[in-house]
Amino acid sequence: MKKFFEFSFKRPILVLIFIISAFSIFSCAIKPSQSTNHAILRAVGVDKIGDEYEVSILSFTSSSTQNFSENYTLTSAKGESITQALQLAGDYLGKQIALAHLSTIVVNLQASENLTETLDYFAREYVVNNSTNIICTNTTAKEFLEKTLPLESEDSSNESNIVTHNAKFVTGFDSNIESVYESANKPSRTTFVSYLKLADEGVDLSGENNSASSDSSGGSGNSESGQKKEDKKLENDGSVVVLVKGKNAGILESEDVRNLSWGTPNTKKSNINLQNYSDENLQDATVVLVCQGRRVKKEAYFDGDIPCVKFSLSMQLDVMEILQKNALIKTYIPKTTHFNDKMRRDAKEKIKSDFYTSFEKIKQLNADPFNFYEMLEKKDKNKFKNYIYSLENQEDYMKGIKVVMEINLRKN
Amino acid sequence: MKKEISSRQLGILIFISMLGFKLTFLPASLYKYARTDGIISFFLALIIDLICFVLVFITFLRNEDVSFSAFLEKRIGMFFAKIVYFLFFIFFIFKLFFLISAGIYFVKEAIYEEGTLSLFLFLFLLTINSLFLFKINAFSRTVEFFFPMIFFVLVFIIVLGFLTSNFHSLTPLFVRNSSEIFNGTFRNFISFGDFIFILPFMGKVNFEKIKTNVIKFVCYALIILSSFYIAYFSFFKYTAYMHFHAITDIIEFVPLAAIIENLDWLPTTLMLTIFLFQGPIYLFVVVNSLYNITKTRKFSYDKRFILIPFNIIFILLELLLFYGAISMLVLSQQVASFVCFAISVFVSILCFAISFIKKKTERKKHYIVKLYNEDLKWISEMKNFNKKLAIKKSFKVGGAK
Repeated sequence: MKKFFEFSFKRPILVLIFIISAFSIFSCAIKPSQSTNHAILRAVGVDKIGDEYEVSILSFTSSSTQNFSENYTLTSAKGESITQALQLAGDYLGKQIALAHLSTIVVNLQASENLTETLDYFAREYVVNNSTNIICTNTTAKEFLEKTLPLESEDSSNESNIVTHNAKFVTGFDSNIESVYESANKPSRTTFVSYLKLADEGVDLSGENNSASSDSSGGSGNSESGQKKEDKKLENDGSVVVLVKGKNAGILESEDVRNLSWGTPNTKKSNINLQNYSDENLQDATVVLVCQGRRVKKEAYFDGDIPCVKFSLSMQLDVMEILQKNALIKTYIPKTTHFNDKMRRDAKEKIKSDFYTSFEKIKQLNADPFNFYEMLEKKDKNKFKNYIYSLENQEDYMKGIKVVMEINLRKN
Repeated sequence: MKKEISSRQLGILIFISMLGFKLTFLPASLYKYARTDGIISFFLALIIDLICFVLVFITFLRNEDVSFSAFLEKRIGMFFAKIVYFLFFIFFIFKLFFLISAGIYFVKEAIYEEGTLSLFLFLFLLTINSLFLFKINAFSRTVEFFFPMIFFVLVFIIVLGFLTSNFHSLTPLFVRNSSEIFNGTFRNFISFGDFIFILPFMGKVNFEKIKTNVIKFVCYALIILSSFYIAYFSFFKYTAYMHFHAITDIIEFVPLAAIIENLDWLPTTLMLTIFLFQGPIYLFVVVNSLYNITKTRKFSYDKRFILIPFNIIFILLELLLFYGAISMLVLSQQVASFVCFAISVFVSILCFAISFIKKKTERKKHYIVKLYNEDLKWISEMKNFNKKLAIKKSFKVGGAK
C-alpha cells in the first residue's frame, strides 16, 4: 500500500487520469442516448399567418427497419416568434430541438414577403449552416412537408436535391440562407429562391415504401396520419421567387427563368425550340437545339451617359430533335447536316428575343440578378454615381440600363 | 547556458502564436469596422507585427547565450528591467484572459452548448497548466509532434473552402475611409503582437539553423493567413458579420452525404489544439514575468509556486469580471487593443535599441604565470607576458627550491 502511494505521488498525472476516467465512464453509462431526448430535424416549414408563425418540423425517428427506409415525424406548433414556436413543437414531441442536421427550410409566400426577418432565428443559430436550402411554396409549408413526406422516407429525391439541381441546371442561383442575406446586403440586392409547387400534376407521391408516419403529439395544427386528402403532387418547373433586398418582389415563371439563364454561365444545359421552321431540308418543323459548352462574358460600358451592359455568348448548338408533321426526310441524317446558316440565324434571333422579353420582366421588378450595379460602378464610378443621382428613384436604376446581347455560334 | 529547445521548435511555436484569434473572431470583427476593406486593415496590422518581429528577432540573434533577465538587468538596471517585465505581464495576462474566454465561447457553441463555464475552465486550465509544468522542452516537443497535423488540416480547410464556396471579387477596395481602416487595425490589435514572447526564450534556444527555421515557419504562417483572409473576404463579401467563427464557416458549403453531414468537427478540433498550445506559451511568459518582478538578489524561489495563487486569482477574475467572450471582445476593442499595440511596439523598439548598449564591463581578471626552468630560474617576466611561450618541456611541480 505504501509503495502504491509512493508510486502515485511521483506520477500525479496517472492519478488524475484515473479520476477523470472513473468519473466519465460512470456518468456516460447512466446517460440515455441523445436521440432519446433530442429531436433531429431534417426540414422545417415556416408559415406566417397574420402576425403569428406556424412552424412544422420534420424530425427523424430512429427505429429498426428491414427495408432500409427512414422514419420521420411531422409536428406543428404556433407562436409569436419562430423561437417560441420551435420550443413548443419540441415540447409537443417531448424532446429538445437539434438543428445540426437541418437541410431544408420551407416557407409560404406570406413568410417570403420579408424573408430575412423570417430566417433571422436560423441565421443566428450557430449549428444551422448557411448552406441550408430555402424553398418557397404556393401552399402552406405544413401541407408541403406533409405531402412530400413519402419522398423523404424513401430518401431518393428529396427537396434538397431538387434545389441543388435547380441551382446547377435551371436557375444558376443558389437558394440558401447565405444567398438570401447576400441579396439583402449587396448593391445589386437580388437573388432567386426556388419555388416548388404542390399541384395537380407533378411527381406522384404515393410510393410503395411509404413507411413514414405523420403523427404529431398535441398542439394546434396537427398533421393527420396516413391520409391522402387530395392527390397533390410536387411540381418543380424551375419557377423562382425573386428576392430584392431580402423581400419577395414577385414570381418568375419557368419560361422566363430559362430565358434568363442564357446570361448565366453557371447553368449546365439549355435548349431552344425553333417553331415552324422551314428550309431546304425541313418544312414547318419544330427543331430542338441543345447548347454545348457555353461561355458567357459580360462587359459594362457607358454610351455617353447611358449605362450599357453587353452579353457576349459563345456556344455550340447541336440538333437534338426534329418534329415534322409532313416528313420530307424519313431516314436519319447526321445532326451537322441540318445545322445550316438559316438555323443559326433563327436560333440567335430566338435566344435574343426570349432573353430581352424576360429581361423586361426583371426590370419591372427592379431586380438585378446579373450584378449590373457592381459592374458599372467598377467600370466608371463617377459616371455611374452621376447616373444614379440623376434618377428620381435610385432604386429604379435597372430601368435605364441598356442591354445588348451578341451571340457567336461556333461551328461543330 | 543550457539550450532547452531547438530552433525548429521555436519556429513552430512562432507559427502557432501567429494563428489563434486570427482564424476565429478577427475577420468578423474587422468587417464590423471596415467592411470589405477589413482585409486592408488585416494586412496593415500584419505589416506592423512583422516590423516588430524583425526588431525582436535581431535582438534575439545578437544574444545567443544570455538570458533575457540578464540582458535587461545589465543594460538598463534591475528597476527598469522589472518595469519591462511588468509590461510583459500586462500584455500576456490580458491575452490569456481573452484566449480562455474566446476558447470557451468557441467550444460552447461548436461542441457542447449545455456545458457550464466551470467545466470548460477546469479543462482549459488543467491542460494549460500541465503543459507548462512539463517544462518548455517537453511542451515544444509536443507542439512539434502535432505540427504536421495542424498544418495539413489548415491547408485542407482553405483548399476545400476555395473549391466549394462562391467566390466574389475582392475589388473594389479602399471604398471606406482611412479612419475606418485604421480603426479596424488598432481596435483589433489584441490578436497581434505575439512575437515578443520569444524574448523570454533568450538563451534557451539552440542556434543551429535558427534563421532558416524561424523565417521558414513565419513564411508558412504568412502564406496560410493571407490565403485564409482572401478566402474569407471573397466568400463572405456581404455577409461576413454573420460568420463569427471564420474557420468553421468557410467549409459550410461542402456538399456531403447525410452520413457525414458536417465537416466542422475538423476546424473545431484544429482550433481547440491551437488554443491549448497558445495557452502554455502565454502562461510561460506570465509566470516568468511575475517571477522576475518578485525576485530579488537575495530571494528567489521555484516558479511553479506561482501557479496555485495565479490560477485561483485568474479563475475568480474570469468568473466575476471577464465572463463571456463578447464582453471580452468589447473590452479588447476599447482600451485593451491600444494598450497591447503600445506595449508590443514599445517593447520591440526598446529591446532592439538597448541591444546596442555595451554591457557594463567587468573587471578583467589578471593572471600572473611564473615559469621556472630546470635550474629553477624564473624565465618569464612581466614584460614578456605578451609573448607566446611554447612549452616544450614538462616541469616538475614541487621539488627542490
